[in-house]
Amino acid sequence: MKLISLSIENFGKLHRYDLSFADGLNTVCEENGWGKTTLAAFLKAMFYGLPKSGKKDLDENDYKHYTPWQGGHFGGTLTFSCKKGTFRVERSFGENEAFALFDTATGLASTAYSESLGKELFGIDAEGFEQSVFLSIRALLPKDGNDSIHAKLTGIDEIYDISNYENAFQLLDDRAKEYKKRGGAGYIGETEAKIQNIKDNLAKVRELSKQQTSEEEELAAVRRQAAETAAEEKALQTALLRAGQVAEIRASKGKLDEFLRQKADLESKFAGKIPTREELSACRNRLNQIENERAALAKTGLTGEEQAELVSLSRRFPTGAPSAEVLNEKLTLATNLRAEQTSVEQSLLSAQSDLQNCEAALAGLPSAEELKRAERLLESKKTTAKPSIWTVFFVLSLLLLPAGAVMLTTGLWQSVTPLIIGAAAALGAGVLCLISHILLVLKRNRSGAEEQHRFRSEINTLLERYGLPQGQDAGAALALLLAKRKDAETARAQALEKCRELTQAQQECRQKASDLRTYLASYEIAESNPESGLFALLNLSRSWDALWKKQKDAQTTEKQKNADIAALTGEVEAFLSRLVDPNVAIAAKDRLAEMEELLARREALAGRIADRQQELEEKLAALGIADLSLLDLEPDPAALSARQKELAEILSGWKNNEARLLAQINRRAAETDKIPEWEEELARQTEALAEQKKRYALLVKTRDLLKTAHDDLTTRYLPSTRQNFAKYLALLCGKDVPKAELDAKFDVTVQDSGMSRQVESYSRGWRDLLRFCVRLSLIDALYANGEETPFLLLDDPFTNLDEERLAAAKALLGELAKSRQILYLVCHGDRV
Amino acid sequence: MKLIHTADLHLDSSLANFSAEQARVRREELLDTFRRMVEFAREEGVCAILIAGDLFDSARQIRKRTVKTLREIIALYSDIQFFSLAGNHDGDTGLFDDAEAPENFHSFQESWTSYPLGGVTVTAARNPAPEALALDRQDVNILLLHGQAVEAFSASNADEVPLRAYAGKGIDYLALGHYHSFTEYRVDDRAVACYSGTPEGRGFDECGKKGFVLLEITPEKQVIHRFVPFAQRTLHEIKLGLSGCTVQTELERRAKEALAEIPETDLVKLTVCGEVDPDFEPDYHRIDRYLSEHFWFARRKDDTVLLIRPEDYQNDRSLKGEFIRLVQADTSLTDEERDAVIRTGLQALYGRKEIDL
Repeated sequence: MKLISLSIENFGKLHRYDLSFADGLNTVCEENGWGKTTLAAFLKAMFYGLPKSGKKDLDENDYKHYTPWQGGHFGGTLTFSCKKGTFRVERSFGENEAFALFDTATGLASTAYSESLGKELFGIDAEGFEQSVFLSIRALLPKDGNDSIHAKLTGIDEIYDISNYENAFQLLDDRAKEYKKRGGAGYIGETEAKIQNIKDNLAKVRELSKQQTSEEEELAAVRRQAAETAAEEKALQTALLRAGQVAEIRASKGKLDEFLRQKADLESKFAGKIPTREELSACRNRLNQIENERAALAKTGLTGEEQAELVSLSRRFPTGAPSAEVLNEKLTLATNLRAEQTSVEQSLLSAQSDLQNCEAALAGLPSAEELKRAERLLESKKTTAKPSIWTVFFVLSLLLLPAGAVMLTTGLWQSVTPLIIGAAAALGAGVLCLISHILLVLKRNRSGAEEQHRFRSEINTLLERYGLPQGQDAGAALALLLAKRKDAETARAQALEKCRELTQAQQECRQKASDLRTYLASYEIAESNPESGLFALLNLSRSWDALWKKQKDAQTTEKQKNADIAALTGEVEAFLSRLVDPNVAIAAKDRLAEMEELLARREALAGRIADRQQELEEKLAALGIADLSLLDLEPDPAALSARQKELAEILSGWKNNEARLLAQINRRAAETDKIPEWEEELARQTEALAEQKKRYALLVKTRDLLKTAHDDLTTRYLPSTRQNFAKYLALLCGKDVPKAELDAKFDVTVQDSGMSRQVESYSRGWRDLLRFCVRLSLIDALYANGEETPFLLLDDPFTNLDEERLAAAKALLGELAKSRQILYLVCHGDRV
Repeated sequence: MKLIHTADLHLDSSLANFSAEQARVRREELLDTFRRMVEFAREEGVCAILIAGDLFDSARQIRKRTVKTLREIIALYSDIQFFSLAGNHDGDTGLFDDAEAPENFHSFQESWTSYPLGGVTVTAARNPAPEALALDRQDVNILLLHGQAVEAFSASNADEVPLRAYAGKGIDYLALGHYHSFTEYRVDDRAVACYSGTPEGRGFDECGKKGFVLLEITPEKQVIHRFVPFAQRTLHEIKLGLSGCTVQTELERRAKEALAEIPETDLVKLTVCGEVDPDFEPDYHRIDRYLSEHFWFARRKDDTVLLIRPEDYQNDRSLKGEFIRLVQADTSLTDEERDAVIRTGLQALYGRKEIDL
């Protein structure tokens, strides 16, 4: 672009100032205080406007700085040409701030550019403008960090994110530092410290665990040893039990020997001929037999009483007692007689009783006279019951009344008066007959009833007296009484006959009884009852027979028994003689008892011996001892007991150790049980550390990549800028070109005498020179791509150059003016 | 007759994914579930509990306190018989082999060992050899095994249970342990094999219903099995897709909808997934707070991938574009790391005070 002219109405100290621009170098040489810097500021304000500011420092507040001193319209116009055409921009500042753009070709207002004219034309903001194309002595060095310059330099579309870079970088860096700081601080350091702490704790607890394991092994060993000791003690108990059993065997053996000795002693008493149980039993039987025989012998013969009775009976029966057959015959006779007598007496009593009954019956019946009178009474009653005159009246009325009725009907029908009169007479007679009949009947009934009542009363009295039911037909009752009376009289006659026959039979029986009593008296038996007497005689007869027979049998038996006793006694004595040194003074029975006792004792001993022997065999078998002689090889019980006591003490010791170790292990377990928790926490923290490291790495990586992106982006222009810087430096310095290098922040470092020096360490002239080169190279870089190239505005930048460098600078300006428009503001002619 | 088949209790498990306190509570719950199961057994008239391995999680970290509690429980329920087969996690602990072990606790030897149980025979071996297994076919035979059920042996893995090798052996029920979810297989016409699964899930690889198998043996010698859900807490893994989600309210709505049916006492892992636009910055802090306030334990995992198309940034003349291009070109990063770096860098560039890592 190219400036064509400007017209300042009022701007700072400039008032109504016009200036036309030529191509190339345009020099404004005025003294200090003329307003050269104001002119430059006007140009900037025409492109970028003049924003108001609250800053008090005039150097930082262009609005306040350039408010017209003299007042009036604050602003002006500027005409310029560019690729889009030639335009005139008019701006007013202050209260009536305004912007207008006119196309000079048409004279019309243009919208080719807006109020942001500078930004749209040059691609940089006002500050960037000041930092690049506006070169003054006070600001030769471009400030680093101007966004618009950077954007312009790098071609960035979004200024926003590049301007956020510093914050973003700082944010990432800060976050990274949260994780890792110097001196081991930060999350990672803290977690590592925690991990180390956990590891330390784990190491301690694991050491405890080792001790616990060792104690558990020791406990297992103690338990094993305790178990072994317990097993030994158990074995010892078994051995002691066996020893006890062996002792019992020994005792049994002693007893057995004693029994054997006693048995031998007993057997010696039989001189080797030991009777059997059967022999003893046989001997016992014989002794019993002897006793029995003797007892029986003692009982043989008549007793004294029997003897006296026999004598007495012999006197009663001097020729012998009557035979049993005779006596039985007599007895049967007597018995039958007694039965007959009894029967006769009972029959007689019965007959007498019947007779009395008959008499009583007769006495209870009406006498014959009474019955006859009653019969007559009945007969008379039958006679009075014949038909009388009332029946005749009744029959007449029956004849007269119907006849009268018929006659009356006929008479009335045929109106025959006589017939009617006759009928009336018949009917009257009939009625009279009927009334008479009724009266007679009533009278008869009344007299009959009275007679009937009297008759009934008499008959009832009779019946009542003999217990017959009243109201019965009197005739029947009387017939019954008559029959009864007849039967009673017949029975009394029969009873009288019976009594007579029985009295005769009674007399005969009494005679027979007298005969029997006479027979009994011949045997000195005075018994009124012949049957009893005969029984007594029969008994006496039997006693006499028995005593007689017994006396004879006793004599025979005594002889035989004495012989048997003698034989048995001999056998018994022979048997008892087996006993050595028998005590013959005592009875055989006692000797046999002694022998039995000895034998019983021997048998008892034999039994015990057998039992003992079996017991011994079983015990030996149970203990696995083949022979009694091996008992001596068995251990000593006393030694076993001593060992048992010793083992009990050892076992107690193991148990104490076990309890102690268990308590110790349980105490440690409270700590060692936490190992899994510590390990879990270690895993947790290790995982957290890994995550933290991952996040840290992510933050660092992001930060570094962002920085790289930023650097890549912001240093893309650097090579060409450096090249131009070197070119301008060579032009200005000639053969004394310093080894200066430009960095991305437009800082210059000079290699001098092998050292890098900052530009500040050089003289003012050199500094201005170097900075001038930097600005020129920056402008070249900014507009290297053929965009709208702005003019170059120089506000006396060469005041500090020496003559040689000034000449070089002026030459350079001439050279530059060939390719761009330059407005050179200078206050001294030497520098023109 | 009733029996319970359980396995894989993994008592005293290390639960490093939980906080120390939650891990302690959860370990107590594992033991408490065993106690509850034994109480259930008594109430139901169960005569035996079959433990098909992995009673403990590791022989190295068994607490004495746990062993003591187990012994007390087993001794207290003396009318119930406990048959325990050692699993690959139990090791050779021999915890109940001493003289003071409860009389109703029965373990198994290396070779086949059988216990008669009123018409039922319980058989197992720590080192099972199918060819040496001889059972009385008249009995009801229950076999305990621990390992991975396979059709047939592969020589490489000794922990396998080759189901075909146990066919025709007279088995009625094959009680398996090792796999942590209830699963059943048919072995032959007579036998069925079941994994009871673990009674309580411990990590998010053990989600879903957990419990044990209740066996009932009928008078006709039929074995009827039924899975009984019994866990105190259930673990849930919920996938929350964020594809197409560009605003925070939509993210929260989707999250609440996905979590609505889960009881507060349960454990939840919310995995956020799908493709997310780099310009959408989900605020996960609100999601995390919701999870922690509504569930006994909850964890969020970010499996989302950034929806980045390189061509979008090819001509992007900005620091963001330059940064993304640089990260995409960095071959030292994995895809996941690349996403994480971009996500972190963009959060920083957007000036987020709380960078979600």
